[in-house]
Amino acid sequence: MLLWMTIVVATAQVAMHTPTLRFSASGGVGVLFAESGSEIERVITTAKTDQLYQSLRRAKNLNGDIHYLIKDQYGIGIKYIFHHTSGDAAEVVVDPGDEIHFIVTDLRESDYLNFAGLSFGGYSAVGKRKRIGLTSSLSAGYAFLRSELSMIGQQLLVTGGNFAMNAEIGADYRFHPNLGLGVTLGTFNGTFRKVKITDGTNTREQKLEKDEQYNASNIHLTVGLRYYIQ
Amino acid sequence: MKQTIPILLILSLLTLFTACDDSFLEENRKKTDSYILDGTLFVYPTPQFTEVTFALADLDVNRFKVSRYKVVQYPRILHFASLHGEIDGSGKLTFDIKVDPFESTVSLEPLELGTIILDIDGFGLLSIPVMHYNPGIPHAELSEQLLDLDSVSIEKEFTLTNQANGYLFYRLAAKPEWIRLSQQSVYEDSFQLDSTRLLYPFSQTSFRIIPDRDQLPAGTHEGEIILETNDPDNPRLLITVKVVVRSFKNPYSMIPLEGKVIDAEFDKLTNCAILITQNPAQLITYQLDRKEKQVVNLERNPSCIQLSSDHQLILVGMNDRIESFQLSTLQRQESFVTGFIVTDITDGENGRYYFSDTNNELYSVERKTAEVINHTAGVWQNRIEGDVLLKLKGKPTLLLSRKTTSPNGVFMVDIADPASPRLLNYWHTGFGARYWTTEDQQLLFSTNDGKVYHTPDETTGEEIRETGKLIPYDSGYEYFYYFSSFDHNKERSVIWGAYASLVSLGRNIVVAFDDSHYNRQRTIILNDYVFNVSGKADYYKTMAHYLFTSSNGSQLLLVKNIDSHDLSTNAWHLELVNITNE
Repeated sequence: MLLWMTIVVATAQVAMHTPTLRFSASGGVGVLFAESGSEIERVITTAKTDQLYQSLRRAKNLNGDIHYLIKDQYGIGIKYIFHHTSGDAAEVVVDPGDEIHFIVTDLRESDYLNFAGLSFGGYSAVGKRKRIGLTSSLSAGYAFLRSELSMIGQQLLVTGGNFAMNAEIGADYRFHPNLGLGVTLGTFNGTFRKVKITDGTNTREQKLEKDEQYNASNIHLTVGLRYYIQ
Repeated sequence: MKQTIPILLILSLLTLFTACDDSFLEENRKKTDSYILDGTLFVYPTPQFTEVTFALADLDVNRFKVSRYKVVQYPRILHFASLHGEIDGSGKLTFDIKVDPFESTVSLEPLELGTIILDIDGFGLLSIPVMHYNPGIPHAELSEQLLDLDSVSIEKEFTLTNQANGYLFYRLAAKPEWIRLSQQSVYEDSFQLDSTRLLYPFSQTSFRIIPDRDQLPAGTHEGEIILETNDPDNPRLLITVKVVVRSFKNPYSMIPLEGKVIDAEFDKLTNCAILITQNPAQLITYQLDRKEKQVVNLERNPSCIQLSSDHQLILVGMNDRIESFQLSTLQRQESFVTGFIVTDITDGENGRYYFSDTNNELYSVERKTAEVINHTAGVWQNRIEGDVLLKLKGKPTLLLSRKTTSPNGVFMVDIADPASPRLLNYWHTGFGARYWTTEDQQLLFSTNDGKVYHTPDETTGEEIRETGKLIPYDSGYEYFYYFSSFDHNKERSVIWGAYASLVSLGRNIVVAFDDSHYNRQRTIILNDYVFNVSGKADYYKTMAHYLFTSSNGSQLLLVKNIDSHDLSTNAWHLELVNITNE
């Protein structure tokens, strides 16, 4: 509490300078653009899987970045994004294609995505005391996919990787010369065309057809803490 | 604040590491026990959910605990009310299903519809085969309800028919121990008790029933064959089986006679049968009411008998002799020397006995003087011939005929002048080897063809009038029905005829007709007779040569001999048949 009071008193007295280094750590939610990227063929009870797919479109997002502002308004840095989606559906009826039976299974899917890349960022301080900073960034790097599947009594791990991009805009409010709060709206673009599938014993690589590719592209809204070094 | 950055980095890495845990793949390495239920769920289309229960006690499914299960696989024609449930502590598994309509053809083989697989907590996977069985609905029918194997049949047959589109399963639930069943189509087959067989739709099969009389005592035995079937309308088929086991002893109603029966008469006033036999030469009487047989040995072979008109004497024609015997005592009363074989004799009711010889010549003997006169001599137009005699009661008239001439001829002779018989008429026809008449002698029966004629008299024209015909059985091709003898019973208004069967025809019968319209009333198949040939007793077919009814018509006395292709012998006997209530 004492620290907080000190910060507030200090900020009330000093106009902010544009920082040299900007650290950002945020968390939020995202929505995947893909509509049914994990569709299972021959599902009889589609209402349940539709629900599963909708769950899988809702992502939890964590990201962080460091930018060095070369000039007053832009700089370069690195960007890390992690997002996670999951969903499950109980007693899904599936046609195994033998013309005789239906199979009943519980479906679970957890998808983890990690992205790391170089980022080009912008920062523009606005306002009389320069407390508001408008931010933007464009990142390009490599994304890692990890998808844990459970279906028809089998656990599968699907991993893959591909180049991806992320673009964000946001605003920071500096309530202290070194600290601020920020909100960011961003979009991530990444698709996985080749995956490795393993059940823990057997592993195989598979190139996915166009309609099977995992599309992790999403739009996300995050809020977080900012740390500035002058 | 500078410490904040490392903390944030550590938190991010922890998140990353958490997301990299592959331990969930270990689940794939876990082995799941699998069991197949020792049983099958047979299903039929049902629009409503139906409860199905299994007892899994033998599988030891988490004994005494409630176990949860999940359905992991099921045939697509099934619908579960719930895809999960519980098995109680006693191992009782219950779920509700309904079944979609599906094409079901009649077949002996169950239709496999798939498998239900349940994942039971703490137990493993349990597979339940699901099948549909449609053997159709058969319709069973038997060809016979009663099989009478009588005393001689080696086997009898019945047919089981399945007239519907369904497989007929039938089990031999019961049968008498003394028969064996054999399916006709199966070589050296024996249909055993409690065994089950199958009959295809729209087909039939035949079974032979073979009796084993050796294990049965003499008498009539009856039992039931019971077939249990899957025909809902005829779950039990029943056949009654009868068999007769002979004792190889003749019953008391059969009285054996010695020798060969030559002639027989019956006195309805005393219910007494009179017979004569050759080898040995005997005169035999049998009193029906007392069942008493009397025998008198004769000095000469007899050839014919007749009762005197007053029914007191038995007139016996024999070789070189005529003798008379008291009917009641069989004491010899008279004896007349003839010098030849007497072929027939009758009481002329005029103090003379009329008789014939083997040359068809007519004689008479005056009882007082024993004078014998030949009446045949004379001009040929008026020649009197015959070796068969009939005295018409109350009339001085004789009817003569010839046994071995065809036609026999009918001679009507006037004996009003006892010593000078006169031929009144002659008809070129005949009625057989003997005159058989109604009790009142109004009608004559022909043994040649069963025809009935009015007895001719002085007014009869050129043709003797026929009044009917006695037909012993229905036949599409026979016209001449040969008889050996007739009996008329006025009390019962019945004419009995002994059919003279050829052995090959196998009609060993006597038949009753009403005496008004000659309709057949009753047929009696003659019983076989046990006779000992070469030390071995056996049953032989018989034929009645004479038959007589008691005066009240309650008893039938048959004078029979065996009737066999390969056995020409004298096994003469009397048989008494009670005909009171039948």
